[in-house]
Amino acid sequence: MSNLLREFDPLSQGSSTLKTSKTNVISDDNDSITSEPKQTSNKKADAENQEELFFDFQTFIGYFKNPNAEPLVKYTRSFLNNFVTQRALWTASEQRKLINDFKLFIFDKFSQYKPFSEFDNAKLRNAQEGIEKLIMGKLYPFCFSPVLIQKIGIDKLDEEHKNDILDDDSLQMKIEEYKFIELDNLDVTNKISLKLNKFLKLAGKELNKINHYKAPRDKMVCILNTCKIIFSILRHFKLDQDGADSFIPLLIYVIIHGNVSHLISNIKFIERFRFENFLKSEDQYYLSSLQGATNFITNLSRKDLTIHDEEIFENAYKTNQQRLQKQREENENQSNLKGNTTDTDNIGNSTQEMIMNPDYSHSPIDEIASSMVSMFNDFFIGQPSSTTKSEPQSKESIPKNPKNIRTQNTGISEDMLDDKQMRKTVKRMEEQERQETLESLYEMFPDLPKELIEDICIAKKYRTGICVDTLLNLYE
Amino acid sequence: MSNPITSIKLVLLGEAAVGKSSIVLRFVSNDFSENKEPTIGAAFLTQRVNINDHTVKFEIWDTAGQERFASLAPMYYRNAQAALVVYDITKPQSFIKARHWVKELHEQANKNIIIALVGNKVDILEDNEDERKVSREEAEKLAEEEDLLFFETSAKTGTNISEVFLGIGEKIPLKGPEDEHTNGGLNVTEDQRVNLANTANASENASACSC
Repeated sequence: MSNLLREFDPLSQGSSTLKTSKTNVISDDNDSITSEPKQTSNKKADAENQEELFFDFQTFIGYFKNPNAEPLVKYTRSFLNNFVTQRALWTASEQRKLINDFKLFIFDKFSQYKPFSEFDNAKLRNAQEGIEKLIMGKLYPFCFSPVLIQKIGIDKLDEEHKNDILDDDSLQMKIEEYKFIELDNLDVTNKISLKLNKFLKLAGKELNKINHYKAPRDKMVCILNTCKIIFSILRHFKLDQDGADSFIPLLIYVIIHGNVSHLISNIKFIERFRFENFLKSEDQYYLSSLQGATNFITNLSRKDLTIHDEEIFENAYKTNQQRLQKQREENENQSNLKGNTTDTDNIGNSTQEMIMNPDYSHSPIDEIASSMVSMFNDFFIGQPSSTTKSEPQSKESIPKNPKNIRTQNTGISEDMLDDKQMRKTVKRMEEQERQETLESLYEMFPDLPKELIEDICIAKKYRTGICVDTLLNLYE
Repeated sequence: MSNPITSIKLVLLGEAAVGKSSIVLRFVSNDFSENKEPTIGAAFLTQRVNINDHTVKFEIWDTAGQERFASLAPMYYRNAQAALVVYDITKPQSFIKARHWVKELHEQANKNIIIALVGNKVDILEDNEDERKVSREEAEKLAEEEDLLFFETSAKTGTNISEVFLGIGEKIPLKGPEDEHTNGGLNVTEDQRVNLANTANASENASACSC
């Protein structure tokens, strides 16, 4: 059971599979933590190195369940409960402040309770990440604009959340309008144009995973992975030396062709709810770049593009417009059939789609992970509840037996959530994800033997960025 | 404990192909080999430099120089403490663009931003002095009027590259890590302010190795 919560994280070493020797090493270390003296300074460097590499939610939950840390659990529970019951709606700025203040408060409390009070920096960081993931997982439906709008309705939303939705739609509309543009419209040198599409498809896939996760950190990792793949491509074509001059156009291209829903809402979510001390340097740079790229697309007009042949461009534009028109008509027909006559003029397809499909952003892996923090299921007392049912508990479950009220919209029935089935589901999900990665890589490297590609994936633990890097090196 | 570390966000501005990235690549690849960052690619790079008893960590933000991306720049120079405005001494157009960036930075960026004007590609002059299309005097005049540091460099040969960054590092008011987050923009109570400093310290230490 404990393995199941381990983070699926393609960027961090050895954590993308359920059972890896690396993560086992960490667990062993954790088991002996209470008897271990504080790390000496020369060991510190190693620990800090690890801190870069690992985030282990399960380990955090293990500590959090320690009876000594019970006050921390109480603080967290009461914060979450107040957050969702005191007001029907907080503005985004209020949410940001409340959540940030709580993090500062609870991080400070770490120093008062074992085992947290004995942690070195690496473990503290892991615990801080754990808190963030825990609370943002729970508060996601209240804080992530595309989910919030389903509860509240666009008319009642505060300005900031509403703008997220509107900005998502503006971006989406521009993407639809210019979906047909090619790399040379962005002056990407033609020497890389040929096979590039396949490579960029994979980057787009990676960016799409942003909607599979709830924690700000996990979403950020998806962005970093996307950028990593883009740089692998640039390196391969010896263009990485041009830095942002060549990176930004490719990023824009990936966004336009990546079909990522709610990109702006995701960016805003990370900005608001990623702990400010964690969101700096490289992360901040790539988040800003993504933001810049989305702004560019939202304001895109013909004059921003290099058009070599007006006539060809004009034709492509028209064809695309016709496609859009047809799509609009189909949509209208559909909504007429449903008797839905509300004004949806300024709410684009994406929102409608989302309303019809409320589970769009819940990845089973993530959902199961947060469901498993079973002791937190009484957070939402006072919320409209679904069924009350005995809880699948992990072996080291806390002695308390809170009322088990679970929020709705999990998309997974509770019956599914017993140990065995959960493990199965996670396995299946992982298997599927790996298969997809493999397929994309086969496509990208048709000249390399499939067995070789698979071997490399296994060796590199299916971390897409590094796999692409390695394969590109082989390719040369 | 090692030296106090001051992080400086430095943004690179200048027309495409003037050698912005090359200057930085030359700077970061010079002699500090232990540098593990960055993990993603050559658009964000870091480099540490010791200045007196202090370690300055440059976090260098590259921007896309193509005209069509000019509107993205504010996203990058927001909160920057320093900027390199780079032009190519063989391309007058790039100097005009540099003037424009200096003006924009003075109007829109941090009030105290330290700007270095950098004329790159002096190596070209070694073969042929006539290639110079932007006179040194003209650039010096701009630097004086606008209160800029000024250097002529060659990313290719390394001429003057470290001088640019050392020059900026010396002009930056150095501070201890405990001052880092005083402008977090959060409304915190007295009690929480203490916490804020604590967490800032903790994470400063935690990230020390990886920087």
